[in-house]
Amino acid sequence: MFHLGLRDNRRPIVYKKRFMKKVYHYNFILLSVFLILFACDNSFEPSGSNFVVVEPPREPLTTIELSLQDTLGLIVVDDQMVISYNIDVGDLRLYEVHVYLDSALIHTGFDAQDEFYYDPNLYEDGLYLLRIEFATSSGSGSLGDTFGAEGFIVYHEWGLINVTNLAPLPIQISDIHPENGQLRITWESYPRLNFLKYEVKNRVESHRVNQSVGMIYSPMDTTYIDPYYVGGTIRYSVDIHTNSHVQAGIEYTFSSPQPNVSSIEKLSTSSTRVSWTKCNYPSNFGKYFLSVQNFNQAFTNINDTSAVITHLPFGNAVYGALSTYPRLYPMYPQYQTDVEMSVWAGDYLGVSADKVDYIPANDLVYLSRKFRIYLFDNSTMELQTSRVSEDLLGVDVSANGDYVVAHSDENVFILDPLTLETLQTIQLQAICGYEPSIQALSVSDTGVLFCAAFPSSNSDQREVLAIDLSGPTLLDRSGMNSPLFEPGEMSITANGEWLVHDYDTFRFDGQALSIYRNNVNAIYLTFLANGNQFVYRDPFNNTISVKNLSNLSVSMTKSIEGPMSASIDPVTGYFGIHAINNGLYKIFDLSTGALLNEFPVNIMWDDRIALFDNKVFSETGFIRQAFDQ
Amino acid sequence: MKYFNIILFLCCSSVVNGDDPSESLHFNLYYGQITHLNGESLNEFEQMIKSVYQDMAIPLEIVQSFPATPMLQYQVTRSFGNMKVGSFYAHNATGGRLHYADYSGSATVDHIMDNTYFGVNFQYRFLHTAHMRVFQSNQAGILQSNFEVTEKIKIWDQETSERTSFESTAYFMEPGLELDIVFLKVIHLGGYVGAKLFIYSLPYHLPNNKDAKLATGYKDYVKPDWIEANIALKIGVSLGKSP
Repeated sequence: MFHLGLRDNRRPIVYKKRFMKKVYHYNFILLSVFLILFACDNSFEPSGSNFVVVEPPREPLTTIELSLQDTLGLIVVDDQMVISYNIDVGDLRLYEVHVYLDSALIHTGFDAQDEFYYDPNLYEDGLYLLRIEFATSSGSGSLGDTFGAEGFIVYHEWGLINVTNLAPLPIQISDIHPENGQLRITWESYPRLNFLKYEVKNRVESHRVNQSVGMIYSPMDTTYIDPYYVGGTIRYSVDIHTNSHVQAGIEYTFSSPQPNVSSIEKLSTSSTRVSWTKCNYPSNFGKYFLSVQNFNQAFTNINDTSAVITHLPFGNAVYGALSTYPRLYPMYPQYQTDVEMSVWAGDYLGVSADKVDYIPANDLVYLSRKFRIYLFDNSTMELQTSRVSEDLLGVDVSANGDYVVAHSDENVFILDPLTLETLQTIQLQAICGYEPSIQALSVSDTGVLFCAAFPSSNSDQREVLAIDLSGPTLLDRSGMNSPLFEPGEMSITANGEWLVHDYDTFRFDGQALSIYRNNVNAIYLTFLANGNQFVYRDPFNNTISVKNLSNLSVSMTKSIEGPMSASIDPVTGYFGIHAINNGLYKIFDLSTGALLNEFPVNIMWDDRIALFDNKVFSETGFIRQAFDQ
Repeated sequence: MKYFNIILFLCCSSVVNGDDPSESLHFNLYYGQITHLNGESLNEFEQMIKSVYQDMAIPLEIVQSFPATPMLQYQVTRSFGNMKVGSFYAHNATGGRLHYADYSGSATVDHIMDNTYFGVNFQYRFLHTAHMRVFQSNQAGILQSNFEVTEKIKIWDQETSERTSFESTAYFMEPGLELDIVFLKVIHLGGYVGAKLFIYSLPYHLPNNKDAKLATGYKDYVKPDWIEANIALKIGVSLGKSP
C-alpha cells in the first residue's frame, strides 16, 4: 500500500482519501493487527552447548589375587573352603564381579575384596575353568563412564581341578593268591581324584590289631606283594586315604598252612625229636627258629624240618615254639609265625598228686591230693581205680596197705584198699567231744589212727588224737595247745611208735602219747622204711636234714640254696632233693652221701617230687626212673 | 500462547470498539527486549544445579543464562486530556541451559521461564508537538510466571528426560517513558523505556502443591526477584477524536 502511494505522486489527495477510508475501516485494522500478531512470537528455546574433548579410554591394567595357590595356572580344590579374591583395578571403578565355573555362575559380588564358599562336592571330579569376570569403568571421565555405560569387561581364568571329598567307599580286595613263593594281593582301584594313598594292612591270626605293611601312593597301583607272609591265617585290608577321610577297607581272610609241628618223637627219657612241615613260601622264607626250654636253634635252610632236643627237664611239660621268620623279619618282627608245642621228659601219667603212698607188699601206689585218690599198679603204672569226691580232704595209707583212711572236715572214712569205696564213716565229734575240724591224719599198720583236729570254733587250738579204728575208741589225746605255726603234715612210722607232726614229735606206746618238741619246722616229711630215721626240710636254715628217731639227733644235714622238696625212697633209701636255683634234681645215697644221679627239672617252686621204688614222681603227674642201677 | 494473545486482543478491541468521537481510543503493540537484572535466586538456582551435577562428576557448564528476550505487549488506553488510562497484557519468555557433552553423550538441563504480565497503566503526557508526544508511563500488574526445568541425559543411544514445572505469582510496578510520533493522525509509532520492579513475589512451587517450593537452601526460595529493563518499539492506532 505504501508503495502504491509513493509511486502515484501526481494524485496525492485522491490517494490519501482512499487510504483513509481504508484506515478507518475497522475490519481492516483488525486484519492488520491480526497479521502482525501472527508475525510476533516471543517463545523461548534454550540453546548453547559445552562439548568437551575427552581422551578415549585405554585398556585397564587389572590384577586379581586368589586365596588359593596355583601352579602353572592350575589350582586344586579338594575341600570345602572359602575362596577370597582381591581385585585391583587401579583408579577405575569396579561394578560387578561374576565368578563362573565353566558356564555356571557360582558367585556374584560387588566388592573388590570378596569371598565365596566353594564346596567341591557339588561338582564332579575333574578339570574346570574358573573364571572371575568383572566390569570396570573406562576411566575416561566421559559421561558414559560417569554413568557406568562405558567400561571394560575383564576376566581372569584358572584351571581348577575339583576334587570331591565325600567319604570314600571301602576298598574291596579282588584277589589274594600265592605267586612265585610270595603272596600277591590285588584290589579294586579308587576312581576319584581325592586319592592320597592306599594303606595295606594285615592281621595275622595271633594279633588282635591290624598292622600297616605298605603305603601305595599311586591310585593305579592296585597290587601288593607281601614279602613277609610265610603261612598261616592272615587278614588283609586296604584302607583308602583321602585328604579328609580315612576309610577302612573290607577285611579278606587268606589261609595257607604254615610250618607246623608234625611229630614229637621221644628218643629217651630226656630227649625227643621234633619235626615240622616245610614252609610254602620260599621267597619270603627267612629261617625256622626252634625254641624249647634252653634249646634255641635257627634253621636257615627251608628244607631243614626236624631237630633233636636233649636234656629236657623232668617234672613238667615244656612249652616250646617253632617260629618261622620271613626273610625281612628284622624290620617286621610281627611277621613271625609261632607254633607252640609241648614236649617233656619221662612219662606222663595224666594225674597230679602231692602225696605218694607206696605199698611194696602189694606192689601198689596210692597217689592222692585234695578231692582225689588214684590207685596204680606199680609194675605197669596202670591205673587200677580212682575216686574223686569233694569230701576227700586228706588220705593216708598204712605201710602194709591194710588201712586206707581219708577225712572230710568232720568225719574220718575207712576206705576199701582196692576199690577205694567207703567201708566205715567215723564221726570224730563223738570221740573228741567237740565239733572238730580235721587237719591231718595218719594210720599205722596196727590200725591206730592219729588225727590232728581242732575245735571249729577256735582255730588257734589243736590236739592229736590216738584212735583205735577197731572201736573206734579214743586211746589218748595230746591235749589242746596253741601252735606257733600253722599245722602242716603228719607222718607216722609203720609200727605206729613215732609220729611226727609239724614241729612236734610224738611217741606212742600203744596206749598213751608222749610229746617231744622238735623245735624245727619240719615239712616235706618222709620216714625211712626202717622206721629209725626221718628226713625233713628246715626252711629256716635252708637245709635238708636226717634225724634219728631214737634220740632225735640230726645224723646228716645238707645245705642247699633254694631248697624245695626232699624225699627218701623207702625201698632203696635214695635221698632226693630238689633245689630250684640250679633247676636240678639230685639223688644221693643216704648212707654214703654220694651223688647218684641228677637231671633237670622244670617245676614250680612249691612242687613236690617224691621217690619210691626207684621212681621219681612229680606233683604234675610225670614219672621217670630215678637211677639206672 | 500466541493464539491466546490474539483472542485476548480481539476481545479487548471489541470492548472498546465504538465511534466515540469525543475521546480517542488507542491500541498499542510493543515489541522489545527485556533484560533481567539482579535475578539472584535464579542465578543461585543455576549454580545449585551445576554443583549438583558436578558432584556427580558431570561438569555441567552454564551455556545460557536468562538472556534478554523479546517481549510482546498489548495495550489499550483511552485518553482523558493529558492522561491515558488503560490496561495491558504482555508476554515474555526466557531461560537458560546447563550443558555438557562429549563423545559418549550429553547432559542438558534446560529451564524456561514463561512470564505473563497483565495490569493497568497510567500515562501522563507532559510534552507534545504536532507529531510527537512524550508520556510518563506507570504500570501496575501481576506476573504469572511458569518455570519449567527439563533434565535430559543421553548416553550413546539411550536417552532419559525429566521435566518439572513450577509456577509463581508476583506483583510489580513499572515506571517508564514513552515517545510517541503520530503519522496520519491515527498511526502512532514510538519507543518505550521502563524498569519493572517486583514489590511482592511468591516462591516457585509445584502447580498442584504450593508447599513444594523451589529452593536453593533452607528457606532460600527461588522467586521472581529480578528487575526488568524494558526497551521496546511501539506501534499503535488511535480511534476517535485526537487529543
